Amino acid sequence: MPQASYPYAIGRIRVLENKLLNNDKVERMIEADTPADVLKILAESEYGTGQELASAHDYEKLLAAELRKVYDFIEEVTPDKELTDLFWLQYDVHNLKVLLKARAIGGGDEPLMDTGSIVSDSLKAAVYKGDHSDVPPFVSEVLREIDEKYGERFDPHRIEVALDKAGYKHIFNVLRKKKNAFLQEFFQKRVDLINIKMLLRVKGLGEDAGFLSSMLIPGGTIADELLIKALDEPVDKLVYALRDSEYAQVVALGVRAFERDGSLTVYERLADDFLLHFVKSRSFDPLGFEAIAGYIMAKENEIKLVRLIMVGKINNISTDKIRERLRDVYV
Amino acid sequence: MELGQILALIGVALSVFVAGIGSARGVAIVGQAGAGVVSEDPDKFSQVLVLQALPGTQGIYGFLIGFIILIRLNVFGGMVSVSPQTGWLFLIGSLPIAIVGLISAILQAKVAAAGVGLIAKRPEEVGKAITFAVIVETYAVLALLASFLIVYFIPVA
Repeated sequence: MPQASYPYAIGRIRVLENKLLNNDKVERMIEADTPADVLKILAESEYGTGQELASAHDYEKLLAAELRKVYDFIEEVTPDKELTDLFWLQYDVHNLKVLLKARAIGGGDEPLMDTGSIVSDSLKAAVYKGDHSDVPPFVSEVLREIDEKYGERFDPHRIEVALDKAGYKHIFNVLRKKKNAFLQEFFQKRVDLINIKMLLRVKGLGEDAGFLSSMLIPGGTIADELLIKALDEPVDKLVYALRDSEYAQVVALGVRAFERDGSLTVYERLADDFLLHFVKSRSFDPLGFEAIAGYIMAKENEIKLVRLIMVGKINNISTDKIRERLRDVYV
Repeated sequence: MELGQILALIGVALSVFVAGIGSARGVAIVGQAGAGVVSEDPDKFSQVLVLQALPGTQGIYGFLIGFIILIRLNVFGGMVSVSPQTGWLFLIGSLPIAIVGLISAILQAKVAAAGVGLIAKRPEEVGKAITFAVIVETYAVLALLASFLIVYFIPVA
């Protein structure tokens, strides 16, 4: 077991950053003729754990294995597990959503992510058997709350919102204790961007202000009132209201695209990219958490990118179209 | 033993151990960063080693000043008599390298650790990585000079 420290972890990360897919490789993947050719390029970059895929359609297995590799690596070198766990929390939340849904429809064997901070068997025990002994207090709390409120009638939407909120509440509680200014800022930005997305989604659904305000996640820097007010106004007002904020560009481009074709894809990618750049711009400190966060995000982003290319190749989408979908953000 | 001698020996102790702590911490920081890089890429060992050694100099400077004080006190040949005032002067003379040594070693280690990250990406730029770290050394050298001038020219009866 190597001694876990920031310089050691970041030293290892600096070498691994060389193995991230560069523009050349991405370009070759886009130009590849078949999905299998894309996988060959990934194999050159030591993607996954070298397992054989029965067919190119099993690429999700490869991506899951790659994410798990990142997870294992971070677990090995993390100088502060409480902080790195905050990045894996989203997978716990995802697992809880899957389990609660499965419980509601009486299903059993649901595929869970193995990159959560909580062992999935513990989550299963908590959801199915009410055995909360191996889950952290915040999970236990939100599960009780969900059982009390929605025990009678399964309401997937409200349950998801409750889980997301509980996750972020936990994150900000940990950060208050840890006093890590960088992560505080990072998660505030993430919450802001998610809240703007919620606003757009609610706008698209044509729901009312009460619905939106029940969904907004606390902890961000944008006031809830601003978002709720924006619900009944043209989107230009929102773009104007945020023109001096750092989200100006994301909102301007993302919201326009949403207005044009009602899709949040562009916004989501711009938001991801915004966060990635924020972390990258800070990740030069050889003794800080920034570089660790930067590596996790870079890998997550890379995996999303590979997924986009694979989906395109499998569905015979033309090279130009795939490039167009990636161009907005990645090139 | 006289008060003056005690004060001068405290000066020796300060310059050696305070600057030494700085160097030990500094070398440890760069060593950890280096171990991280080398565990993924063993070929980088020699380049990383140069950077690790850099924050070690402050401890040597501290030892040097301590040694000069010891010589001035003639510790090895029956200690000379030192007035309290002269003792204070020796103690003050040890402070520049003690304090600047401690701080500059740790700061230099951060620059060197960043340099280790630079080598991980671009091994051909090792010279630049070393240059960045060496510039921090300037202030340790100035502190060494100040300490040296003080402890060397203090009149001892």
